[in-house]
Amino acid sequence: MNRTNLKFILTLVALVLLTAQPVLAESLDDFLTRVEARAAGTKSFACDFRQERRLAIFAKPVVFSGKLFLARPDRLRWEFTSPIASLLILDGKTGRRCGEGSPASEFNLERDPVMRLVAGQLRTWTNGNYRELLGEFGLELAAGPSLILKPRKEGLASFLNRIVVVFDPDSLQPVRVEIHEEGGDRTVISFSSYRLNPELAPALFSACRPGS
Amino acid sequence: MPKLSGKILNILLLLGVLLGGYLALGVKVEENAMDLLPGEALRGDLELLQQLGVVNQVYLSLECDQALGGGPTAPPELLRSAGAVGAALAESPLFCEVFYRLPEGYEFGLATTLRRYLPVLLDPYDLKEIEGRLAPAALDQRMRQAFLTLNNPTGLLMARLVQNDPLDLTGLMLGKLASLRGRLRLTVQDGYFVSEDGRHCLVWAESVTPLIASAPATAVKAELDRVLAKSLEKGVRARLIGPLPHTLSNSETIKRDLARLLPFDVVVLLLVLFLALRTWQSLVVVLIPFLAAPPALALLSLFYPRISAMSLGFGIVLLGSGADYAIHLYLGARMENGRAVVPGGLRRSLLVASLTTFAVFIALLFSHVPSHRQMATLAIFGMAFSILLAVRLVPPLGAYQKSEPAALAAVRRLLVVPGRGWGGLLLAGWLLLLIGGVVGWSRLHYNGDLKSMDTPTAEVVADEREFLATWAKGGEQAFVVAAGATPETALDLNDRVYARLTEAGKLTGVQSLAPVLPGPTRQARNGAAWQSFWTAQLPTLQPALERAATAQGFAPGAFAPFLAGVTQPAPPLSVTVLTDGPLHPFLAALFRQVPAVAGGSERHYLATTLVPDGPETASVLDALGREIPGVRVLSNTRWRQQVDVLMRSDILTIIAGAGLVVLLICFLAFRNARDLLATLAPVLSAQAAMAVFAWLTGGELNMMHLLMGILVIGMSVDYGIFIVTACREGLSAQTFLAISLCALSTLSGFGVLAFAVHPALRALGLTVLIGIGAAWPTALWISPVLAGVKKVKPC
Repeated sequence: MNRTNLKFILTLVALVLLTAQPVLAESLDDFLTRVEARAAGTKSFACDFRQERRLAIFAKPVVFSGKLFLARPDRLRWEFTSPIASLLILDGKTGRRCGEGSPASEFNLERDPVMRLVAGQLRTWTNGNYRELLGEFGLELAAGPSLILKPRKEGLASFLNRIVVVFDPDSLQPVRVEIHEEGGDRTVISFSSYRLNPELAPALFSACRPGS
Repeated sequence: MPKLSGKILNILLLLGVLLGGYLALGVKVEENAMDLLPGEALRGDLELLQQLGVVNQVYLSLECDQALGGGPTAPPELLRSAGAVGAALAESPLFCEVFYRLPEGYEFGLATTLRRYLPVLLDPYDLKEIEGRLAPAALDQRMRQAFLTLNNPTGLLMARLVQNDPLDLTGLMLGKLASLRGRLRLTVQDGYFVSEDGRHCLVWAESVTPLIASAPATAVKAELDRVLAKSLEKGVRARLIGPLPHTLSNSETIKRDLARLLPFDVVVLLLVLFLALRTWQSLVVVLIPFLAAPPALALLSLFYPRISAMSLGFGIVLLGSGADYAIHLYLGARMENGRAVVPGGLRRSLLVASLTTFAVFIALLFSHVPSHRQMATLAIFGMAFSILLAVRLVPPLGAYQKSEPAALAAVRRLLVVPGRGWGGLLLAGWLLLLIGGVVGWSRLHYNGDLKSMDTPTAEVVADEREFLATWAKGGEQAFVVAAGATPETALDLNDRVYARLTEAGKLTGVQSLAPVLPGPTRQARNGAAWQSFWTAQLPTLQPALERAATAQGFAPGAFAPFLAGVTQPAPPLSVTVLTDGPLHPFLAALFRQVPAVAGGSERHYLATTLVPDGPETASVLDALGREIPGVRVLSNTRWRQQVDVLMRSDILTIIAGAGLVVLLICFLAFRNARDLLATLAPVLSAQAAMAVFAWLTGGELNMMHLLMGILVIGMSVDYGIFIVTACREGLSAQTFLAISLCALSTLSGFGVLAFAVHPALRALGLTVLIGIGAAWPTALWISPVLAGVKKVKPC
């Protein structure tokens, strides 16, 4: 390769890098705007989900499945139906949970740090407000389309490597959430059978009875 | 020559006053509540409270309107306001510690930290609890629960936690953190300290200066007002709690009282003197105590480098009685051959009266209360100067006396009752008063609680009531302070306190560091017990846990890290690991490094346990102070009792001492029982009247009654001395006028304070009003009867 060719290639690379950076940033912004716009048109939804946990301490991958109900702005019902029924309800800043291994109890998100963290994650994946995570996570747009969330803070980063949210290209609803922990543990939650804007009975977000 | 030396003496006196005034400008006056307390031990207690930061604390209870919400969750406006207030106070140079929010994610960091030190933190009671968790059925249940948790959204990121602590041993430790809250009812929302009703948020800070003096309190209040005005959002207001509002409330009440009463007081005083004496020159007599005060203050500063504001104020009040001698000299001096001459009888009266006054003030020097000793010293110096000034400056002014108008002469004649044959009736009335005094005196009690002289405004009282209803469970708390030269020794002592409270079954409402941060001795003992416990349990636990875990779906060896970890020794947990962490707001009040107290080592460490202060804990609090060397119990209840006992003994010592010396002087002066009784009659009347009044108005005496009672003794015995001496010299109606003027000037000067709102000023005014109010007529009408005088010669 002669000196002129080398110069040409380096200039080309520099140009690509210089122009690609704003394009990528803008794409992420555009994408988030599109997700938010789509989410804003969805007052409620219901879907099925399948959770597969591959943890080093489990003898084999453990699969749970269930149903998810969401009513904007802040009500969510996360219900495992198989193999063991259990239920988690979020209603504003309060919530309820019940099921085997988790006696029926109410909690306040402001006062329960674990539930606050959990609720924050669940709502973000399902609500479309990814910009709210920018303080805690670095966001990258990847093929799929998908968002890669990398924790910014040392505390969270010590046990969470990244979260990948994969979207349906048309509906822009999340179809898969992958949680990659430090050490190789991984959880994949797949969402399917979306029903957008159904009428959801208020009792869904108050009665803490799995299967009700 | 004598004329010349007299002038030189006068000039020297005036120069002394000027020099005294100049030196007095440099005197440092301080407000310090410790000067009001009797006994070294009690002052040491207050000093300790100051070191604990109790008197420097400012609590801000932010409260939001109903419209903003509340309920289980605090509205964002409230939390934002708390954040803004806290951040602004943290930047202020007037505060050294500001607590308003725990750091984000503190719970996770704290759990990780505590887990590392479990072997030295969990005690044999906890090991018993853990033993229960190792039973096969319990292990099965716990593994099942762990499996379900890990498959729930709540367990998404908890795999490592469960793997390292499947039996939730950290939970045992986290449960102990409740001991740091004690009776404080608060929840933590997003790191903020929020009340259970969600409508209040707590911010607290420590001022760099004690808040029991008005000047720093005013500066801190101004800073707080500035911060609150800038930081509170609409619909959020703040209540200020702590010593600060009390200091300001008292200071403002006194200022308002003085502004309201002083002008009236001065006008009445000047009017009385001017009407009675009718010359401008006569007003010099009022100035005598004021001229004497500066040199007295300068002399006082030679003995006391730090002068209490209280001593200064009351010392000057005490030496105010110096004006009485000036009045007697003004009215009694005569011009003979162009020279002012003081009659022999008056000179004799002045000598005896001065001796009794000095005796009273000298008795006050034996008080246990430092400010009393200071004010007595000031009064002694001031009185000496007053007498000197009065003797040198006042007699020549007598030459300016004008002839008496007929109306005034008629009033004066009315004062002279003995010659009118009312003696028997007056004596009967006087005896009734004395009997009433004896009955009343036996029913009085001394209230040594400084709170009895506290005047919080209605707003302060309402704020405190609201604060207690919102944040605190129960009533007062006692401070059990374990002091050590090192953090370790302080913590070891603190453990002994906690163990003694446990043994007595009095842990309810106790706020202590001991469960969370044991001393090195207990940590070593816990560590050894932990090692032997797990060494004994591991051979059976290992297969049992493996069986229970695999039965639930866990991989073989999933909990190997836990099993390997439990036998690892933990390093000792040092104070800084916790105090530098998120628990700092709770620990700051319970553990601190402080500068040495007088006579102590260079610096030392205080570990404090807060114990409910009531009858149910009285015996254990007694035992703690008695049984554990190095531990001091600061209990308000016990403190009040001690102050009460010490002050009562002070009153008795001072009054008995002063009474005996006064009795001796009067006896030596008159050498006659009848004259002695006549001399002391005004004192007896004053004491009896004060006792009857105090009995009828609640039966309580406080420090102000004591101080002004001593002044009243000193003044009223003077009335008796002047009257009885005058009787022996041939009673002159001029003495009646002089005594009446003295009494009127005292009543108008101090008696008007009986109408003050502040209890200290009111007690002061009432004591003078009642005491002098009784001594004055007794001197005029009873003493002459007792002395056997039938007729009074005209002036």
